[in-house]
Amino acid sequence: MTAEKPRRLASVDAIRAHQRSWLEQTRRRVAAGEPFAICNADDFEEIFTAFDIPALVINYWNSVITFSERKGPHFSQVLDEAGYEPSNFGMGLAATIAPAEAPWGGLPKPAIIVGTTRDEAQLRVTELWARAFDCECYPLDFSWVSQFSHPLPADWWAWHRSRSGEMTDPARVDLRVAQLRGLIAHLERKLGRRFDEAAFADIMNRLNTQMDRWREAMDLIAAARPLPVSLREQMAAYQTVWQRGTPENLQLVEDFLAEVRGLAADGVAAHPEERVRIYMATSGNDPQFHGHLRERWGAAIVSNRYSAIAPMYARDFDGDPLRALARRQLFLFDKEPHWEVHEAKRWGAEIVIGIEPEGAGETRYRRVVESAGLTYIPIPRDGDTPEIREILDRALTAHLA
Amino acid sequence: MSALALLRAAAADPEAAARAHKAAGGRVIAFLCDNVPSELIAAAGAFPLRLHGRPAMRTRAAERLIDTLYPPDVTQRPPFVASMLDMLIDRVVDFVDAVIVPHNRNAVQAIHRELNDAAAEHGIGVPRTWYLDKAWSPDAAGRAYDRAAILGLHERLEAFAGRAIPDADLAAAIVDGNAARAMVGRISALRGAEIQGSDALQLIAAFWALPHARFAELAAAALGELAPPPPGPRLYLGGSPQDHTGLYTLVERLGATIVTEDHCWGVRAADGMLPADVAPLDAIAARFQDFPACSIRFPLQRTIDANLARARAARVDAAIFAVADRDSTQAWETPEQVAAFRGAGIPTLHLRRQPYEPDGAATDLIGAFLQGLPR
Repeated sequence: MTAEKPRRLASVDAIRAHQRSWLEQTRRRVAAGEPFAICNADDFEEIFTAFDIPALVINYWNSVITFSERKGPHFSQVLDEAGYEPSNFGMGLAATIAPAEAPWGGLPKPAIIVGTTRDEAQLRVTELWARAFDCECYPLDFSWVSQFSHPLPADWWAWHRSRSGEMTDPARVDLRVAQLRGLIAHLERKLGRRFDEAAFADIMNRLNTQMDRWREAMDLIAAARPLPVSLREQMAAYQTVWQRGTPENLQLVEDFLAEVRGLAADGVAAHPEERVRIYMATSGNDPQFHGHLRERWGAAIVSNRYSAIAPMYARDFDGDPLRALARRQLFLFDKEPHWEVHEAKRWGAEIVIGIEPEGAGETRYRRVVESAGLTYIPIPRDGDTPEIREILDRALTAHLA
Repeated sequence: MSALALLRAAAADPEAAARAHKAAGGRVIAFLCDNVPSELIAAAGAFPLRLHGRPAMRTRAAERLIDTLYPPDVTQRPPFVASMLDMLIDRVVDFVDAVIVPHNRNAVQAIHRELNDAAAEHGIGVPRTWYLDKAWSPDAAGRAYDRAAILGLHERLEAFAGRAIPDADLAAAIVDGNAARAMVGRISALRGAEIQGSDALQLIAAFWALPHARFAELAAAALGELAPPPPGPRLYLGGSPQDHTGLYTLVERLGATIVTEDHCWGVRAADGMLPADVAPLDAIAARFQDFPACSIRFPLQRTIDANLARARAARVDAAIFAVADRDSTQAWETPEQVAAFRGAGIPTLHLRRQPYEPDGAATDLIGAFLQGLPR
């Protein structure tokens, strides 16, 4: 028996098409002399949108290169030959250094790349990328992963939107706001455009609505039995998150929600063989071993952490959207097992798969997941190999015994 | 014991002097990296001890007790950071009153959270950590933030000392610090002609393990005791931190000597001298902003220019850049430096993904590189 390919959603195909046409349109705008920008996912995008500057999100582009176009090995080799350390974050840089195989015709030249101090490697990659494009790199201090100094409240995932002040160090927020204002002023000078505060507030409001719709769609998918929308389609739909707060993307998510409502109401099954539900505590796409799990075990991977990350972009703001944005830039989410258990349960999963180095032994993820009554399966990498299948088969055998 | 022997002993057991100070009733504040203001700690009446990881300290406690707490992509660290983390978990420095963890490279700053999480998860005793935040951007807002971070540390040290830190004490600590840093510069400048690179690295290690005044006194006396190196190519060393002399002695065995470098256990300590005509806290705050955090400076061109200038001033014949495995800072900034050095006519070897101690492959590559240098 071969597991059927899961149904593609019309609304998700529209999202796929939109992404390509957005890049095509952006290329035309740049050819006509308009500016274009590159920034990190949790960084400056909403402000670029308020300036009417198309902005490409780095990890989205890296994901296109690695997952959609499967060119990771080629561009890893490009980085290696240039003396760098191959990494997913460097994929966009590699595709600029060696543009012959860049996906979708490659990127137009940006006017600016916003550097990130998430860590030293990301700061350097953005700077080197700007060098390769011969454009400006403008770093902003502190972003999500550099938060090691501020303790988070328990159940932070329930409060990130309404109590974002508790998630972040106020002094860092002040610095971030000052630096955001500095970059806004710099862009006003550089581009001869005025930053429209009202338009920015509209974008932040629309963003919140977009994420509400996303959340609603995910709640429907998670609650439905059987699963109506595959992880592959969920992740393709996630691309809407890379352009937040625009009318087009809000509409795309609303169309997705409408289609999800229909599928859930009709009892449509993404994986008709579904008997066991699995949650992936990972950031990757639908893993290639999913077909094996479905065929042999009737085990459906219902979601991963990304489905819950999208709403993390929403922030309530009381008249100060810039501060709300700064707080979100400082804290988006934390990769920690209590949140993942919460998500796994929301999705009705009885098994959680995580990635851990071989021989990791008794890990915190295992302890927290198992103490919540779920089965935990650690695998050393996300790959469909005989070794991985053996680990999965052994664990499924024990789980179903 | 001779001054040289005392310095060598301090380098071999970097915690000994601080441990003795504590045993005699003193207080010890440890810190990571080379940009924490040791003068401020000294002025607060505590012994400033830089935590010195080294291969002998790699017990893999970090893998057992830290890496099991997070997904693997959260805990990437090079071996020279892992050894310090091992030391902290293994209670090698359990005598310290606190450890200052600066916001430098990700793997370093993460130690603050990692230790506290490990204590909560495993119930182990770990030293108290003080996080010293830092903005990396060279703009006015970043400068103000870093100044506030130093003022916060000053306040914390005053609370720790139970007294105000008088300006006169801080000024005196700066005088001692400058004398010690000047000796680091002098030691470094004598390399090649009068001092072996490995000897210099060892003496500079003692700078971080002894009170500044004591180091300056011993170093001045020790200079005459050192044997000059045999003639050979003068090398610049770039890339990852070298917290032990393995690579230096390997180069010497192969007939060359390292006369200058850019890493946090080398001559960079001499760059930290503070001006006497600026208010002490202002001087410390300005240095904290300007001094690279684990070599991280923006833009990269500043690092390239500084390192080329250092190499030229030391009249090097060639350069080696050695990047440690999992050193995500150097992995990305070294290729541009290598290109700049080669462009400047300096023969340069780029060693990537190096193990903590040099292996046979490094020996072969360096040997072949040195053989190929113009005579």
